[in-house]
Amino acid sequence: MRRLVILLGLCLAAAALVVGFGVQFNGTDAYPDAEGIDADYDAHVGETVHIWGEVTAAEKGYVVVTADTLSLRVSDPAPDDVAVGDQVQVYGRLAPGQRLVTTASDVQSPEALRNMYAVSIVGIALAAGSFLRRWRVDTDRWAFVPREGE
Amino acid sequence: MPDLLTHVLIAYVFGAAAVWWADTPDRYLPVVLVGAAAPDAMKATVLLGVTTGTAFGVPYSFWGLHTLGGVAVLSGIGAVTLAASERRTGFWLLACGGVSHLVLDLFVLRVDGVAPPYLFPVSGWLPPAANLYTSTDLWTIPVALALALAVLVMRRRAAAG
Repeated sequence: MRRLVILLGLCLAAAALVVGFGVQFNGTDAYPDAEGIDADYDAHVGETVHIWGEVTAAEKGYVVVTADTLSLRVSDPAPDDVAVGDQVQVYGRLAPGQRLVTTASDVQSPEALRNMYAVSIVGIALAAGSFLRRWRVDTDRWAFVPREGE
Repeated sequence: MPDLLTHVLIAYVFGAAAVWWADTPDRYLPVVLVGAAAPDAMKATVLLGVTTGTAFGVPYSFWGLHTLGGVAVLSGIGAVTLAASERRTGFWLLACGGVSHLVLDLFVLRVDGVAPPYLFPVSGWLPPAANLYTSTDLWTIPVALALALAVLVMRRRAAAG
């Protein structure tokens, strides 16, 4: 019973962290609200922003990056350096006409992201496997206990 | 983040040092590895596209779990799953793994040069990003593997006397 109360308290603490972080950081420079910028774009012109989005167009001399409902023509990366579907982070100044004058950017292809997830699954398996080699579930107590000899 | 394999391998290095320093049984070393993977549990919300937003008028962000406070809470939840006699040590070693995760994430490339507020809720400070690798740079794996193997060999030699 005491264990359940502790678990409930920890879940409430986790919820408090999720809400507290949202209250403190959503819409700030660190976590800009792309949808909010799009809703009142002209008011944000001149601001420097850091946007994480996806390349939705890369042709004829321009690249469009989309985050939520916000679509921006970015001055960098160049169309030859990206493909539609790439994930990008761009940092720069918002200009009139839904444009971003890029200061710095980084591109990650879907293939690179797939590889990252694949090796991450190996990492999870390594952590879980090494844990279960030394610990087992005691079904009487519903808790992990050391295996015999540990 | 770098990939989770890099996180787990580096956590093995930190965990071996922690287990040696605290003079705890070897069974706690894999607990550190689990702790190192825990902060990325919130990445499930990234895949589902619900990481940040507003619900019932209240703003929320699951990035709040990818912080020092998140490490403390997730380590607590993990510790509760252990037998009562193992919880205290288990908590600290889960937290050790979680902190190693946040430390590695400080080196991830951020084009604005600023890392997230990993000390939340203790502080909202945005530390400078070291910009050493991106989350998809796989060169971190052989480096982490070499370090982990070196530690593994040292531990085997020490155990053999």
